[in-house]
Amino acid sequence: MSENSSSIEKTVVLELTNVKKTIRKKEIIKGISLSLYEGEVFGFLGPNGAGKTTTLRMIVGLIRMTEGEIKIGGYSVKKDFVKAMESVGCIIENPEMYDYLSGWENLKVLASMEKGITKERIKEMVSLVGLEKRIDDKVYTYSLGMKQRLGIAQALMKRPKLLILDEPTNGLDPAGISEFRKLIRSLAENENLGVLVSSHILAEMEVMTDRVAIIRQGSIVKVTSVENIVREKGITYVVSDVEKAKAVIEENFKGQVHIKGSDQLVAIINEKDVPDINQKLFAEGVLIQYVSKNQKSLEDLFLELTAGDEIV
Amino acid sequence: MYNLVGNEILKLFMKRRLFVVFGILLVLISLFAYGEQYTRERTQARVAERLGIEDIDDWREITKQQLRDLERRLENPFIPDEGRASLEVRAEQLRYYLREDINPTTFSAGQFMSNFMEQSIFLFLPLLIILLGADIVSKESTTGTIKLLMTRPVPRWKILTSKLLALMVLEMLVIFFMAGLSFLIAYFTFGHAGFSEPVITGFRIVNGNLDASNIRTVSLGLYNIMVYSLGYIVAFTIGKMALMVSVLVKSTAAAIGIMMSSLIGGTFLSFFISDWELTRYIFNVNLRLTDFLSGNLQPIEGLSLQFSVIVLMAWALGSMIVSYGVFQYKDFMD
Repeated sequence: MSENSSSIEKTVVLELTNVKKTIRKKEIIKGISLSLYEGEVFGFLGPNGAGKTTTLRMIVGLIRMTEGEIKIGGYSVKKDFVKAMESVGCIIENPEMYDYLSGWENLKVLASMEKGITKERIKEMVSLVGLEKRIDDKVYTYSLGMKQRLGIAQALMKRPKLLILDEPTNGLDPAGISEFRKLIRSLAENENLGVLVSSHILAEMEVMTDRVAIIRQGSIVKVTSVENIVREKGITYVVSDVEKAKAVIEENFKGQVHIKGSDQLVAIINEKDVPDINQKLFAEGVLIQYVSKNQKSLEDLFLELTAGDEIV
Repeated sequence: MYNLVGNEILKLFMKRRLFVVFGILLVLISLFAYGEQYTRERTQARVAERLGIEDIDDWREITKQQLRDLERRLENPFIPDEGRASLEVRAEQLRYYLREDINPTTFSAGQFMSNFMEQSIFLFLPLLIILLGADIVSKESTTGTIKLLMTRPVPRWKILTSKLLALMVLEMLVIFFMAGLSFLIAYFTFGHAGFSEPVITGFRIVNGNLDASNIRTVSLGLYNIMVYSLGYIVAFTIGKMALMVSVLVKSTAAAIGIMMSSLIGGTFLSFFISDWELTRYIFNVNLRLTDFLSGNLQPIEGLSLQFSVIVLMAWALGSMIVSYGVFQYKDFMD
């Protein structure tokens, strides 16, 4: 996804410009810049201690940035906190609620701090997350998954333009996770919500997000679209003659071929062409030892980019 | 702002800590009333036995006997000056009762009320306020709900102000509850309210001598209003300090611990280094505000009601400045 494609003009809901945070003379966040558009699900990926949570907390004003600028819906978090926060719903880390209050009282207390959330809107949210039966029970009787649902209701009830979720599927069962994923995608697509989500579950990021930023030691190492990662997948061939195989494939089929070793090459091609390529290679006298599909995924990219962190 | 304060009060009520405080008060006041009744009966029996009379209804005899005892003790040359002044206050009170024909031996609910506040103002009342106030911010930090609060479109100072106001309402509630409950229990125990009874106040001890020039009589009802208002000043100050500690420390246990140890530690300190000039600025030594009304001995010489109230207000103001300053710029890391 190229940034300057002007075919679809999208509004920026969140903009970070060179955001830095120094704690006790140690630079924790070393200048992060990114833009998040409406209707986009943006993933935040990084090993523990990379600065994901610190960055998310700076966006919602829990931590004050040392340098830089964060704008939500055009309003600066530093100078115009109230205006900026009016369009943000968030769950930061665990969905802690007042456990001595009922679910309903929690939502009411929080709604009273926002503008224009009606009783009907709260009810609507309760049924969206499927908590109607338990909403009058005290939160300490809730399971983690139910607290998570209450957290989602709390974040969405103000009709935010930007939704910030830190490890959102923690504590949800597999059915809940898939339901949640659908909810997030439909909010982004139908209500044009910008979603910033951090997770350590890579598979989840891969299916849920449009773009991901990989963050490492306080800086963004790479921002890439999930499409790009999928495109980087290829087919590995182990053959008797790599030079000849490369020539054959490139001449007869659309695609790029990279030689990876004395008997190995990776072809970026349409998967459907594989049987034809195999036949052609055989006809040209190239012996194929084996063919395999590369599972180049977000995980590979992540491990590649964050390699060596444990040693530091 | 009303909705924010309402939210905070709802939270304080639902946390049930308030009811623990009320429970403690109920038990303690009942015990106190029972003890008061018991010692009173014993004293009367002893005095009656010593005087060789069977009918102890003659309060003049009993009061005269008490006065004679006091005068005998005052003849002892080894009593320090401060102790002497305090005994003189007692003697002067008894003489006044005899002169004005006021019966001091009857014990009324009103007297019990003021006694109870006088006994609790320097330790028990602050303790209750600490229990209520020390977790008002720190509990939210411990459980993580602070993140819910701080990510609303509400500036930080408003959130702290709502907590401050809620705590002030609660302080008042505790004072009212103390007054109401001690009145009710004492009324059941001693039989009459006695709010119209006169009380003498206005004693001052200057340089170890009794200054009786400002002595006045007020009704017991008015005296109680004065005593409980002074109680609120103490509750107000301790509440602000508890709020400050609650902002500074993340764990509720630590916040309560710090407040308790400074309360008790400061009181010890005031005993040991009472000559030191700076001791008078410690909040602990200024908590016994009601002693200025009753003429009891002050732990440090030269304190006055005005001075003590100003010192307490300065502590409250300082705590508020620190609370707001820290809360406004704090990073909520975990």
